[in-house]
Amino acid sequence: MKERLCEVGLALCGCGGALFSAAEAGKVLAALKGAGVAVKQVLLSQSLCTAAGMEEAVSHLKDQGPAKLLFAGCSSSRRPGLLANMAARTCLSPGATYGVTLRPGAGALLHAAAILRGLKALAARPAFQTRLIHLEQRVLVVGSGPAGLQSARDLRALGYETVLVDQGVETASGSEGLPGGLILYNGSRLAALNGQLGSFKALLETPCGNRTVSCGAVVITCGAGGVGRFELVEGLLGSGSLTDGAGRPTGCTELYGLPIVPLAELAAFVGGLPRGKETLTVGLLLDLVLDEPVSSMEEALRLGRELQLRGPQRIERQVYLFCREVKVSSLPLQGLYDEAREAGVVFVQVEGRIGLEAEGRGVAVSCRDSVLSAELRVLCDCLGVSPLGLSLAADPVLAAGTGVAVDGLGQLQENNIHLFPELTNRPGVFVAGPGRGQYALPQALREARAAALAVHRLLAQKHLEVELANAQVDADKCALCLACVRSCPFKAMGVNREKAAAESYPEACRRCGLCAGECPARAIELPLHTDAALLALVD
Amino acid sequence: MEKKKIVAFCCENSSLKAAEALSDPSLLEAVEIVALPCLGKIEIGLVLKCLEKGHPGVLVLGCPLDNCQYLRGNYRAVKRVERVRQLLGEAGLDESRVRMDFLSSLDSHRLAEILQGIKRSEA
Amino acid sequence: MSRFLIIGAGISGCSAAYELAQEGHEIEVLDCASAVGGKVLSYCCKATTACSRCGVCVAHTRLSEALYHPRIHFSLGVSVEEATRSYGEITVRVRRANPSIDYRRCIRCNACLRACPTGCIGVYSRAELVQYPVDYSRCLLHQGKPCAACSRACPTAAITAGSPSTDLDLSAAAVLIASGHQPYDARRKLRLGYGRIPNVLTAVEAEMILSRQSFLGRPGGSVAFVQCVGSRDPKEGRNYCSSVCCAYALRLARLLKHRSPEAEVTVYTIDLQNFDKAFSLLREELVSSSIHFIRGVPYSVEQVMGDLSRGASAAGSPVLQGKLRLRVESPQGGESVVEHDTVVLSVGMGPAAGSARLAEIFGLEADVFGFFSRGSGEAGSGIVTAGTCREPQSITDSMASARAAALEMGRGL
Repeated sequence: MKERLCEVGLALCGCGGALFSAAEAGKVLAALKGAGVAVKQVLLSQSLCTAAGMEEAVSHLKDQGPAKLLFAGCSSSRRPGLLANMAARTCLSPGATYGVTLRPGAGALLHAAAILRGLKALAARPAFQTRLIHLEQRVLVVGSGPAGLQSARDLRALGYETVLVDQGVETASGSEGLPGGLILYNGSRLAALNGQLGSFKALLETPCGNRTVSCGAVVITCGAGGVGRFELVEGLLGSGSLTDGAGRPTGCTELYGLPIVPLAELAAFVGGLPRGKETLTVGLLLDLVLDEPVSSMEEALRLGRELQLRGPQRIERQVYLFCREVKVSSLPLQGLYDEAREAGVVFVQVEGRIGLEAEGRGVAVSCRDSVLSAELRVLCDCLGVSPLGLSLAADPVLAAGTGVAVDGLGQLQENNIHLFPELTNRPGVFVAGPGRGQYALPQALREARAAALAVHRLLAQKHLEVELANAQVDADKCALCLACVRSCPFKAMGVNREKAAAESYPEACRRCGLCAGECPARAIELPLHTDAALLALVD
Repeated sequence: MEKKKIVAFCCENSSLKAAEALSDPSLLEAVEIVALPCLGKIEIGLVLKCLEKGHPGVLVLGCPLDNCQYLRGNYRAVKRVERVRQLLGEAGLDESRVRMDFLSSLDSHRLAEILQGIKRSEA
Repeated sequence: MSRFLIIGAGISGCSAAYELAQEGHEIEVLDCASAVGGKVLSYCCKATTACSRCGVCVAHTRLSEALYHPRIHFSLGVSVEEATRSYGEITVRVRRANPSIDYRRCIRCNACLRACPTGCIGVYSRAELVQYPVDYSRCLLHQGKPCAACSRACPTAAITAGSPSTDLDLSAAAVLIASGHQPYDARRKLRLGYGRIPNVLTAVEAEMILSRQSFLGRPGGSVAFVQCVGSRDPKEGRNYCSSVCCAYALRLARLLKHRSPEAEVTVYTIDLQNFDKAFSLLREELVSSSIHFIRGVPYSVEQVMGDLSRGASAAGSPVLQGKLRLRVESPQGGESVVEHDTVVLSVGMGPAAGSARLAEIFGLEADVFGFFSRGSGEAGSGIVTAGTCREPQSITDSMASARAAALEMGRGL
């Protein structure tokens, strides 16, 4: 733990004369003195906000060593990383720096007034201690599908101990097989994830009982899992799309015998059908529940074209592709769409409700064709349905247990533009693949690699030095209502049993102040933006 | 005694950046800017304190929903501003003294419109 | 630590540069324009009270992080002449136009603007990005006349203005081509009237206007979005979907409707393409909003010149001067005639103007549309591509593509 004594340094930049010239700088300092402020060290410059000026400042300040630094100059104090960069290189903690923006043409007195306000705010901040957090060099990967295996492979190549967890009993090992040195838990699930980044405690439910695995980071790559015929028909019944000829209540069990399969199994199913008829009508159904992503259309186009063209001799096939929109937003797809049409696939663009009814030994698809503006009913000998939307994207129990927020469609990632594809709201927990809504395989693999590299960026340094400027809870005022624990988007608040109060974890706390704003007892303060400092600004 | 101005709580990541990119910086004189790391920090008590100190109004300027860098700060701020307005209404005061608006860091023109509106209403 | 070269200072180039620079490498970024940011600089924020996740704000943050990063150096106004490879290094010869501003020294004092005799230095200031594009066609120095007014006025010696251009030889361990795209030239669709008829805009122009004000044409006027202009078009050699046009048109439509609720907003589409993982949620919102969605492609736009006294239009109603009349072909085969105040053409993306030349210089393979696939076939050729020069994609996808390229370059994965 380090501690610095309280001393304030002032870095004053005239910005090439735009704020004040070298001569006028003296007036600003005189005005400050007149207000009774004596600053320990002053660094005057006309170009502090440039890379070159910064070099000069850093070398100067490193020798002088103030414990706190006020930068007063142009709006570049807001420029990403400028203050942090300056602080890091002069061995100051980021919380010990503060930027004041001076306005051009304001004059020496107003500049001095602005600097004074900044000094007051900076003085109100204590010098922060730091803590060294050990980062466990083990990573937990949840889900052993293609994305999970890609992450695991990359993590092993980067030298991390990798634990792979999968609900299924069989592991899909892909063409390259399992990477070496992996610890695998089959038939197991992640029930809860406690702790913070660098020291997570993952609770696994395995066939041999519960296990706790400690790890530094977690990569979640599970999706909705395999949807077989049974789950598909269940889902169709549940969504109300599937009925028998007389309405649902009677003959429900017969509906399971209908020729409805998930899209992925359709080709094999069609191949296995008895060759009785002359023309086989094959239906492909997309967009039943959700607007499906382009990867579904790509799969359907390839399948439709194959089925239309490669029928066995003397048996004609007619493929109908039902969708709400023809999704072609990937470069080769318009060409694929043209080929499918040329091959003879009939595209039906539907609007409104799609109904599936058992008829004879087939399924009748009823819908409204938006192009012809007419009601349509097509009797299909077999039907391939895209299961998207019929089951949830991700397991809600997993989401609840890991504290990862889901979006409106149940996908394991909030819809916030600042979250890159592999990031979640919880620091140290990453996602990739269908669980977060990425159904296209090349992109899912790319995200899995990005997740592995994000883990590496986090854990490579082996220790994390965190500044203790996180949200502080006054134990006397805290009533353990847990509003802060529930409202923290980053799951950075927990309960300290000894103090009988809530506390924030410095390695995860983002210093946003949501907890402080939420606390009904006004027990939480942000050291970098204390209530006193804010009130002073309002005066 | 200087006339008290409307207090504008600005989040560092959106409205403050828009304020710094204003083509006419003199518009900023219409309000008293208080920078916050995130609007989620706003407490109902702080807003009421501003009104208590004699400021004519409070303007809460933040990122559009789902644009918050801290994910949910603006959602919480919306709830708190609603609550403050409700309290003001119950106390018989003018609810419109406290309001919230959303703009991203690129929307300097919208900020200019808002500030011009304030300048006009005070003139 | 290595040195890398990136061709293209748009969002893809800058994202990759930032990632690599954070790892500790030195990066040189080149662009033919005199400003950093590429096409993103013209786009506007399309949020209502909720973010529409277009990515423009995040892009600007990333661009400014790259612009001021100590390990990233930009050379702007550059044309690439030649590239050679030897001993695992790639050397690129470029010609850089002067005056050239070193953003690592620039303090944004605007002294160069004031000193310039022809006013050829402009200022772009949005969010945290401030830079000074130079209009070389008006610059005296660039025309061969000696002028160094900007350089003399600069208090931090950030401007080089000694000669009209400087030749540079840059070597790097690997090169990233992120040369971007250019929008389809809507003038090629003669019957849509772009360039002839006022109030017919491209979407790029619409975004530039909406960066400064909250309406298009007259406040409360009706706006029509025409989709697939220059996309899904075999006759123009563009038989592909540009993927971003439905995204931006829907966001712009929603924005316009929010800012002027009384305005009529109509979107004419073939299909509505998906974008981002929350598209289903947005679709529900849009369908229940009062934006009109019409399946059908307008093939002609005419300006209506008559006034009320001239009589009725083909549709049988009185006609107001200045309106635009569109003829729309419906999928059923019929035709309808509609009128709007402003028409926005959603133009698609095509390969950038200089991409053929870049392909030749760097030995890149291009597909039938001119987009680059991976580098010249050999593994370890040291040339990587990212962004919209590979295929039309959104800002967020371009950034992901750039990060993937940076990971590949930085770690050899």
